[in-house]
This record gives sequence, structure tokens and C-alpha cells, in this order.
Amino acid sequence: MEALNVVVNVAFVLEKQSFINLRLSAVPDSDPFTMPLFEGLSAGSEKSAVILDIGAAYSKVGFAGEFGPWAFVSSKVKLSKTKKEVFVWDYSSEEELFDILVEFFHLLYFKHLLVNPKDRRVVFCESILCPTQFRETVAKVLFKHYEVPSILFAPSHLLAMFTLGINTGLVLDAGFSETTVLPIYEGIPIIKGVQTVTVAAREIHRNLAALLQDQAVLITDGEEAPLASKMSSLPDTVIEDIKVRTCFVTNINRARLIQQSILQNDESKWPAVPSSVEYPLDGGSKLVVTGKVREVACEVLFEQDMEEKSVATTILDAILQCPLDMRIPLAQNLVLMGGTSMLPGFAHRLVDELKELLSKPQYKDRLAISSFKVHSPPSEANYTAWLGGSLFGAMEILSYRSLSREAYNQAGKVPDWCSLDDAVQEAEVVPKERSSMKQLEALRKLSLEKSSAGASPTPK
Amino acid sequence: MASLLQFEKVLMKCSCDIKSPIINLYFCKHCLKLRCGRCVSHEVDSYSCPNCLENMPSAEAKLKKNRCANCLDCPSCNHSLTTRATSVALTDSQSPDKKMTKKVYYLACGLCRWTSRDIGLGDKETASGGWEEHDNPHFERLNELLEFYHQLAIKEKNEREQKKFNKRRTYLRLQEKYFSPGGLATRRKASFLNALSSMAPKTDEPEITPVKLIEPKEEVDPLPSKYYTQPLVLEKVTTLAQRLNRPEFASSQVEGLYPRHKHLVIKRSQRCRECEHNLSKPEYNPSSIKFKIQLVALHHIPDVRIYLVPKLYQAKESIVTILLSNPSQEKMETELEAINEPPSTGLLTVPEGLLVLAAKDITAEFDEKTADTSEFKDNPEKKSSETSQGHIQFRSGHKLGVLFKVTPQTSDSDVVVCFKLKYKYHNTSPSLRTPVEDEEKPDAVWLEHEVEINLGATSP
Amino acid sequence: MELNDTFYMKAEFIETASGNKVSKKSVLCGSQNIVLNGKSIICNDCIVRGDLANVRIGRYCVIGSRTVIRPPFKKFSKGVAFFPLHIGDHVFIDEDCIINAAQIGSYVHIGKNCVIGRRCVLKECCQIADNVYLPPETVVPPFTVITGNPGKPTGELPECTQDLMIDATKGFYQHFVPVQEVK
Repeated sequence: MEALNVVVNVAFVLEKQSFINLRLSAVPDSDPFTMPLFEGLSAGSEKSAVILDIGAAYSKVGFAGEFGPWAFVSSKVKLSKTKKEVFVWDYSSEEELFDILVEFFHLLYFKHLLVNPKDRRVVFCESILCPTQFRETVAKVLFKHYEVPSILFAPSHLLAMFTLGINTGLVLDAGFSETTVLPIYEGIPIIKGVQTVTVAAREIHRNLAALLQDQAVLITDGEEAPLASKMSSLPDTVIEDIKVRTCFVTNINRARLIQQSILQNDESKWPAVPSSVEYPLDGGSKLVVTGKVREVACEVLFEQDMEEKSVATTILDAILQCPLDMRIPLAQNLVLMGGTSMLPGFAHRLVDELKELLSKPQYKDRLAISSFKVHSPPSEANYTAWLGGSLFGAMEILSYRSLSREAYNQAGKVPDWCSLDDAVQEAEVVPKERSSMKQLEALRKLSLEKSSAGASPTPK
Repeated sequence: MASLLQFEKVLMKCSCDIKSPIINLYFCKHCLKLRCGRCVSHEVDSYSCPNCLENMPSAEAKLKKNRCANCLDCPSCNHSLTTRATSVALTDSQSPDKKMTKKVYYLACGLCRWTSRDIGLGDKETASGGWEEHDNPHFERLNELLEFYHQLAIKEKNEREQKKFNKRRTYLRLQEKYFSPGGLATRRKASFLNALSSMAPKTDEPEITPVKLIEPKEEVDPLPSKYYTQPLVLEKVTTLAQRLNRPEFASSQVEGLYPRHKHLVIKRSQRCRECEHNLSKPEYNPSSIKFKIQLVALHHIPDVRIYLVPKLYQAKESIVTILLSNPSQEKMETELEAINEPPSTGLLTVPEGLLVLAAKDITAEFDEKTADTSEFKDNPEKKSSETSQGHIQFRSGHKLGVLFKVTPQTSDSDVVVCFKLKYKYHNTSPSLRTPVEDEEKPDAVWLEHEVEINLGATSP
Repeated sequence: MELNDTFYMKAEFIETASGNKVSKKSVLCGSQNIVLNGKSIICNDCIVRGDLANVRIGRYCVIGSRTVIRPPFKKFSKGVAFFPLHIGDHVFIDEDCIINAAQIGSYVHIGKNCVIGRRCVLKECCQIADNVYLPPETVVPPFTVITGNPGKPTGELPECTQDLMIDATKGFYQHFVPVQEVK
């Protein structure tokens, strides 16, 4: 009985994120929501909801109750106005984003999903650090332009828990632009513990491109020449393909040896180098991707940056932010998701890194954790959040949880967990925890600044 | 065809203030307004397979996950697969001397030469195949989860129903309020118990069986040693696009690639957002190019085209010939009015007064062209065109060449001129006219649209 | 934009009674198997392989310079058979193409430098952009724009494509004017 109450809590929390800090027990009376306007619709054979997960690199779309997305599409769209292909997240103003989203959703609905937007509710999987502007614009496009009946904005980390049927866990989402960690205890996200680094697939691509530009050899008609002398840069798609097909995350022992070898400038310390690969490029030339490059490209994930942060430290830092009694359960319930976590060897290396970090001075005295356990969701990691959305969207109670078009038209905005409006304040808010919301907002801003600052020096 | 006739040079403003070429516009006969792709609502009309061009009802399309039952795509390059017939020699077990040949079928790709034999799929004895389908590897687990959440949802729904019921009985609420001994917490608890107890006897709802937990693992599989020691065969590793084609069965090795059923395409119908009338509705047959309803702008409003542009020089007046053509089978009166404001980059003088366009004669197509012009020399309309002070360059059939005076005011960008096109629109469909007494003569209204013409760059 | 005049040397072209204009520099193999339904234009240096199978071309078609039209074949266990090639009305095929299709519907526009593979079926009102290779046995549904190599559907044509193609091919025919050779 207890277990189910807690999962109901997850559901509660999902509903409007404003309740994330409210400790809800499954007491019917504590339900602060007005009766949904759409109840009539929810009865009987309602059409299954559309599940959208708009990622920075790839978007996952499909229907509720399905066990996998129906389409995995690149998050970019050719604008009819300018005839240019743009990434959905590459926008400079709200108007621009609106135009991009109108065309992108048109593509999703009429090329991939093949359904009328009006007929189906939407579950929108979003990062908990999703910028308010983005979320507001999504709501505007879906409600005003496509006239969808309702939207549920669901945080992707919580959705990942849904695929496992657990309620306590530490979820790491390693996507394209950033890696985000969120501790969730008994169905309640510990907002204080959110950790994020802008080290993910994009950083690997950047590193790989630089390594190739620096070291790689191009074979054209049997003649070898350094890549840099022939091409100023490789296309992003080629870099991505090289990463996916040739690169891997090496084990910690080899990584240490490689680090030493680089630091001491001593080639002899380098462990036995993996085989190199000739990668064919357009026009008949071949690019030699050496074993060193294959092995080192993904190391950026675990190299600590200026602030001594890496993908591994985010997990420990997140645990540190949580109360003592939560720490061991969190460490025993790691959930890894996002395309970057699918790199061969990622999970193994991460656990090893975590164990090694535990012996480092900054964690040794503060964390009494000795082991980590990793869950394996019933999906590939790149669509775990989507699958959670699908499981949630299949529940009959989706209508209660969603923001209906009528409610949106009345309020004119999406209720945000940072801006508690009157209706929401009727529920009892534990005052102490309000501060964490401010923290979150600050964090959100910070991550925005970071990502924009990080994005600018991209080699074009 | 837009590329041959360069329609993008002349743009018209629709009701949502976006400028589009006339070929992309609709004309709502009911609102008498221009509509573009953005200001109409799109609807899915019919499903069909782009390869075999068979129709599929929408329910079946959803059941088959928007995929054709017969056609398959190459898992390697996504081109359509074709069935190849071949004969194999069989040795009869009873009489080994007798040779038998049997016809068998396999799949092959005409583009990348992939065949179903590459991945060890056995040949089939029927042409239609009956190729194996795959289930999600986590099918059972996911069904368990789905069932579990379904139970939770039912329970919560019942609780809500109960609550609604309770609310009506205010007496009970009062009783609860005044008679519960403790503070808020106890009251909650009480009502919780109450809710449960009151529910238990009435509904013989089965107890929710919690989903079984899959324990997280402490040991994570390390990276296989073959990554460090064995050479990588690039041709054997799948690309990201190939993996994302089937996210549930993503295989990193080409042996794991299975053919996938062809994704369906749809025909769309368009509806006016204001009056909800259909603006375009295609015929059901997938290979038909006809429409049941087709209110495209090209059939209703005068088409403006550039006929002749001389070399343009900055601040020097040039004469540009513009072609107006009448799409309707009644003569049409038009009037032009220059708009010399941004975004226009040239000073424009348009012919004053009424310009009358002759009716479009659909039989003229079969006549010789000379007969056409001679007919129009006697046309009394000619007089009215003569009065417009030699602005008429020529007249042929329903087309009229008019002269625009343009003084470019830019040297570095394209010369753009804007004007208002006013015309008398005759509503020809009798059903749309409301007053019965007007039945005798078709009613006509003056309509106007803003037109923007790009005349190209100036010469130095 | 109205089409500009295209000039041709009067001496280089034969005009038939039904208004077809065929360049004398083009090669029509097996001309008894080639049917032009009228007002079609075949430009310089085209090759039409009527000797392999029947080729039927509708009204108001334009076949650009150096384009090869070759009926498709199919392999059988006993050998190879060629199939007739039908092209509808108002079809515009640009320069330097190789057409091996089984069928091209009406109102189709094929861009420059395309290769249309063996036994492709192009339905009515579709467009193939410039420099496209269409793999064998591809079906192109109506109102589809194909781009790239290999060709993939990337866009849609407007509902009024039929009118536009009629307009364009008729316009091209009207503006295809002879000039006397100047010596």
C-alpha cells in the first residue's frame, strides 16, 4: 500500500511542478486542484495522447501506451520563410522561436505522427531547467496555433523513474548540450540538489573535431596529408558519425595512464593503443582516425573543469546537497539516461570515477557512501524520458494533471513552479522551502548563461 | 514549378500579415480573405503508402503504427526494398537422384545492394513474404508497469469521484471540520481513512498488486576488451541514423538491422480558421491529383507577374511591364494604388483609373492564338483602357500588360515596390449569396490586397 | 515572372503537322516506336531510344538538351525484357538528364542533370529538383518534391501545381521562337 501511495505522489508532483516542494501524502483532501474542465472528454475511448520530447539534438515523438517512440527526428526544421535549416533551440527571440516551433510541430504532426493536433492531449517531456520562455512559447504554439486540448509539462528526470516503478533515485541525464543530475526521494525532487555541467555530446564533438583537426591524416588517392592542410573543418554530421561508430569511453586505469603520459609528455607510458580506422569521406578520400583519438575523444566527460566539475562530480555534489538520511538510498539507485550515456563503457567508467572521487579530500570526510548501484530502465537510454511520458500519458488520470486549453486561455500563461499564483497558493506551502525555488531560478539563469557562453566559441 | 515561373518574386499579404507567393495562398470565398498555410488549420484527410499507393483507413493506420503492411524499407539506406525471385535446387529426401527446383523470394535494395540474406533471414516461399516482426525486448516488463499504473489511476479516479460526492454533502464536511479532534494532520488522516473505508465495501476493486522491483546492480559490465585489442571494422558498425530508425531495437552491428515497414504519408485538407469552411480537400484516391474542394487564390484573384524589367539604375526612372491576368470567367475591374513606404525600396507610379481585365475564355485554349486577339480589338473595354493614358502595353486574352514607373532608391539591395491591388470580385457560386432578391445579378464586392514585387538588383 | 523567349535556329528543327518541334541534332532511334502527341519540343542532342520499346510522349512536353530517354528493362530468368515508357502531358524535363522510368505522369518537372533509375514511377504533379539520382523502382507520389542524392522526398508542391505546369509548358512553347540563320 505504501509503495503505491508514493507513486501516486510522483504523479502528483508531475502534475504542476509548483507542488514539487509540497510533501504530498496520498490524502484525498490535500488535493488542491480544481476539478478539471475536461472530465467529460476523459471518459471512455479517448484517443491516446501525443508524447513529445524535444531534445537539443534529437526529438522523440510518439503516442501514450507505446513502448517506443514512433519517430526519432533531428530537432531541426527548414523554415519556409528563409529556406534555411535551423535547430529548434537556436533562437534569438520569442517570435523567432514561435515561427520555428510552428513549422517544427507541423513536421512532427503531419509527417511523423499523422494525427490532427486538435484531437489529442500532449505530454511534453522537458528538462527541469527548461527556460520559461521556451515552455511558454511551446504552450502558445500548441494551444493557440494547433489548438490542442491540453498539455502536461513533465520533468524528464521524474519520467525516468516511471519506467522503473521506483520512487527514490538519482537521475543523471547526459544529453547533447548539458548533463543534469536530479535527486528524487520518495517521489519528491530535491531541487536543492540539482547539478548541471555543460559537458555532454556537444563537448565531445568539439573535442573530437579539435583532435582530428590537430592529428588526423587524410588519404587522397594514396597520398597522405594532414587533415588541417586539406579541410578547415569537418561537417557536424561526420563528427557525430565518427563518435558513434568509433569512439568509446575507456576504463579508468587506462585513462590514468593516458593522463600521465600526456602530462609528462612521455609516449612510452601510453597503454597499448587500440586499432586505427580509415573513415571514408565524400569524394573518395579517407580519414585516418587513430586509436588514440578514438579513446581520448570522450575523456572530456570526466576531466574536471576550472570549477573542478565533471560528469562524475555532479552526482556526488548532488548527493551532498541532500539530507544525510537520503544519501545512501540515492547512491544505491542511480538512473542513467540520455544519448551520451549510451557510449560504450560509460556506466562502468562513471561508477569507477565515483568510487575514486570518494577517496578524494573534498568528498572523503563528507560522504559516507561506499557503493553505488545502477538501474537499467526497460528502454534504450536515449528515449527513457519519452517512455516515462508514454507510461504516464496512458493513465486515465492524465486529464486531471494537464493544463487545459481553457485554463490556459483564462490565465494566459503556464503555471510555473517558480511563480506561485493565487490558485496555487491556496495549497499549503512549507515556507522554509520557498528559498529553494529562488535557488532554482538562479540556477536556471546560470545554466542559461553558461550554455550561451559555452556556445559562442563553437568552431564553425 | 515555382522555380520556372519565379513566383517568389511577387508576394501577397494574407489575413495574418505574412507575405507569400500567390501559389501558396488560399482564398476563402466565405470570409473573402486571403489565407496562407499559417492562417488555416490543417487536418489529416487520408492515409496511404507512398510506395504501393494503397489507401489505409485511419484506425488501421494507428494499429500498424503508421506503416504499410506490405512495403518494406531497407534498414541500411531507407530505400524501398524489392522482392527478388530466385530458384533453388532441392534434393528430395526420398529420391536423391531427382533434382527439383523451387521458387523462393528474398528482399533486396536497389540502391545499396543490401539483401535479406545478409542478415541471415531465410528465403520465403511466397512473394508477399510474411517477414518476422520483432517485439520490444522489454515487452513483458513494460506491460507489467502499464498494468500497475493503470490500477493506480483507477484508484485515484475513484477517490476523486468519491470526493466529488462528499463535497455535495456539506453536512459531512462540517461534521468533519468540527468534530475531528486534532489539527489539520489528523483531519487529513481521518478523511483518508474515511475515503478508503467508504470505498472498500462499495466497490469490489481488486487490491493493487505493486509492480515487482528490479534490483539495481552494483556491478556494471565493463567495456569488453575487444575495444582495446581488436581492429574495428567500420563497415560492420551501424550509423546513428540506422540506429535511430528503430530506437527500440538499436543495434550497433549491421547484423542486427532488420527491414522496417514503410512509413505512410497523408493527404491534408485545409480549413479556414474563422468560418471553418474547407478551403482545400483532396480526393480520396492516393494517386489522384484532383480536389473535391479547392479554393486556391490563383483561381480567384488577379495574378500579378513581372513581364519585362529593363536595367534599373538608382534614382533613375525606368518602365517595368507588369502582367495582370484575370482568373474568372467574368470581366474584372481592377485599380492599383502605390504604397511608397518601407519595405519598398523604389518610388512607384502606377496607372491611374480603372483597368478592366477581360474574362478568361476556357475555350480559347483550343483556338488559335490569332483568333483571340482579333476578337479583343473590337472589345468595347479597349476604350476604357485607352483612357488610362497609355499605361497599357498590350492585351491578350484575359491578360493585360501595364506599365509601372519605378525609380529605384537603393543601390545595394534588390529593388522592391509595393502596391495595393483592388478589384471587383464577383461571387459566382449562388449558394453563398444570402439575399434571395439579388439572385438575378451576381453581387460584386471590391476587395484589396497588398502586393510586393521584387524587381531584382540595380545595375551600377 | 513570365517566361522569356527561347530562340532556336529554324533550320535545325523540324516542325510536324501537330506542332511538335524536334531538333535535327537529336537522335530518335526506332522512330516508328516513338509517339509525340503534339506541341512537344525535343531539343538538341537528345537521344530517345524507341528501338528498345515504345516511347509515348504527351502534349506540351519539353525535353531539354542532351537528355537521354531510354525505356527500362527487367531481368527475368530467361533474359531481359524492355518495357514501354509513357510520359504524360505538360512534362518539363530539363537538360542533361537520363530517364529510365517506366512511367512519368502529367505535370511533372524534372530538373537539370538528373538520373531517373530503372522502372521508376513518377506520378502526376511531382517535382524532381536539380542533380537528383533516383534509385531504381522508386515511386514518387503526387505533390512530392524530391531532392538530393539519393533522392528523398523533402517537400510538397502547392495544390495549384497542375495550373502552373500547364502555364509554364504552354508559355515555353509560345516563347520558343525560330530565328533565321545568319550567315
